[in-house]
Amino acid sequence: MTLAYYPGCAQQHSSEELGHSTCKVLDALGVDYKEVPDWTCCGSTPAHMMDHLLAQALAARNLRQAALVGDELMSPCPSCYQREKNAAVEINESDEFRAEVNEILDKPYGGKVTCYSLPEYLINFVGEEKVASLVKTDLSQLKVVPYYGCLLGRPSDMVGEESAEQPMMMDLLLQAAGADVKWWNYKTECCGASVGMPKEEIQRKLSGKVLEQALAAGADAVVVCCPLCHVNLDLKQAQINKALGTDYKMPILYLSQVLGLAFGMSFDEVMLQKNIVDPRPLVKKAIADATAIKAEEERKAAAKAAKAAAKAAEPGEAAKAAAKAAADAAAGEGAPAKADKAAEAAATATDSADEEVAP
Amino acid sequence: MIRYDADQAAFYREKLVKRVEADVRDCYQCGNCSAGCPAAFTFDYTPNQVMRMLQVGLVDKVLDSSAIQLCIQCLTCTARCPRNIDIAGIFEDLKTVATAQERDVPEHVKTFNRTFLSAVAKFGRLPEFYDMATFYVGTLNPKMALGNVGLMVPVLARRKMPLIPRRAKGADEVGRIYKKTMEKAKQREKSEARKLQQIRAAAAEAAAAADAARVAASVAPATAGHGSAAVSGSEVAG
Repeated sequence: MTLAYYPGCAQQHSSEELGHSTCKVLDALGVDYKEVPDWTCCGSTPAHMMDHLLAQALAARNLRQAALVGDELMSPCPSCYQREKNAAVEINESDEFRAEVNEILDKPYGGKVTCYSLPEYLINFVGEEKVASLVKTDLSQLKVVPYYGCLLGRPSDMVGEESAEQPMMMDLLLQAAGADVKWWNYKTECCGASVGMPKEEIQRKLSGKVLEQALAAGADAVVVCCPLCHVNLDLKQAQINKALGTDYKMPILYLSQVLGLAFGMSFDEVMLQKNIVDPRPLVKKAIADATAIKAEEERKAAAKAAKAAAKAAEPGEAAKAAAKAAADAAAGEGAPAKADKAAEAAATATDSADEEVAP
Repeated sequence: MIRYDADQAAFYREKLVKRVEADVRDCYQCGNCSAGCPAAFTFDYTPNQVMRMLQVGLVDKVLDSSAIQLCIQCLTCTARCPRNIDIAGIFEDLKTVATAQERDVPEHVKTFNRTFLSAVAKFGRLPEFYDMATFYVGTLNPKMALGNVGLMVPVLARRKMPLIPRRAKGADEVGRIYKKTMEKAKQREKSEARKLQQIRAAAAEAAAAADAARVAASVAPATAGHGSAAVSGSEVAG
């Protein structure tokens, strides 16, 4: 079944890196998807704060268009996802409400589409094993905290999480990708969302708290799914610093960017150059550190192997063999060569034993 | 002084039960919603105060409050309510009511919502720069706009926002959806207001009738008064 991919407005422009890297990751995972034909805005927060029917009708138009592709819709933007899912649940369940919405639409929606967020889709349809199997770049030195925000944790029954306070899907995917996932308590705290436009002080205070807690948890970067969280934490980080007197320089990565990097994609392929707080030095260092650690481990492993080999040919036995060869040499002709060889073997055995002890 | 407005309380309570499936009477004022609310520090009334005001029928005050406008809809209150009340749903519904009644709401939330949706209705997809520009013009607050001009520098440097909006296919339908639903909402609120007025008129009439009856009873012989008191007493006990 083809997945109906709903990019959302922000992924066309201001969060281009999210849409682009999501498509790259879906390609790498072999997901069969197609963009929703002629999709329009989901209505976002303003629509459901203005009027319920307006919000559901705007979302329903996209559900109708998605049905042209398939019965499953996925949006990388948690806000679009929530709006579409909220409408789908209400409209699919109630014939009466569907009729009310269809009165507003040009063409009716049949009521069969189910909606998924990016982490929800990957966990349910792709699986962590598949994600882990594609890992090419070692991100074990990339210390991150997954930030779910409001829309990927609440309401938990709707977003498919077991707990509204401790959602886990992003944690599981980042762990599968091999990143160093830190535990923290601000996974689901609000960043201020769209209220950051009309009432800036709320957003600055809340986003500042999120950054503070991410640092306290030992993270070098925050991983998000939501383009609005990204704007609030990344683009507005300078404003937060100014308002709160802080000096944060915390890169904010998208989940899809981290997955892409783990799959061996280049910085350009996941559009790291589009993030405002430049994550490239951090990611470069994390990958270099991981390579260095791996090289060190390989050296140790080689040494260990040598020791094991040396153990197979115990120094005591080698010495015995050498003594025997020496005795042979004394006893008969043509023995000197043999004796040299045996002495050499004994010396090597002792050397390797010494080397093993040294480090 | 808080005056219990039973008619208005009942009217909105029933409305909320129907539309949000949440009954404000379930709230026992534990304050969990206010403790977890990330934006309450800017509200005129905390979420639990709003719930109490709805219980006692101070609906007009709530509809004019900054609390319902500044609610971010993060759903923390709903997720943590031990009585399983969809508090955020109630806030959302009241916000739509305030909008449809065209109340003069505090802060720039109304401007933000209106400019966003007009832009979407016009172009089908959100033209971000156009939306920002119309919003800051709409706020009539040049200081706020200037404070955010700096944000555009890194955005433009990374070519993340085209300045000229483009119309998406399907924009016509979106425009029609916006127009139709907003008209419907306005009509709905007008008929709701009429309904509330009728209920209030009926209640006033009933109260007047009760007053008249009380006056009549007080002029009637004392024995009859005792008798009726005994009857009402047994009714209460039963």
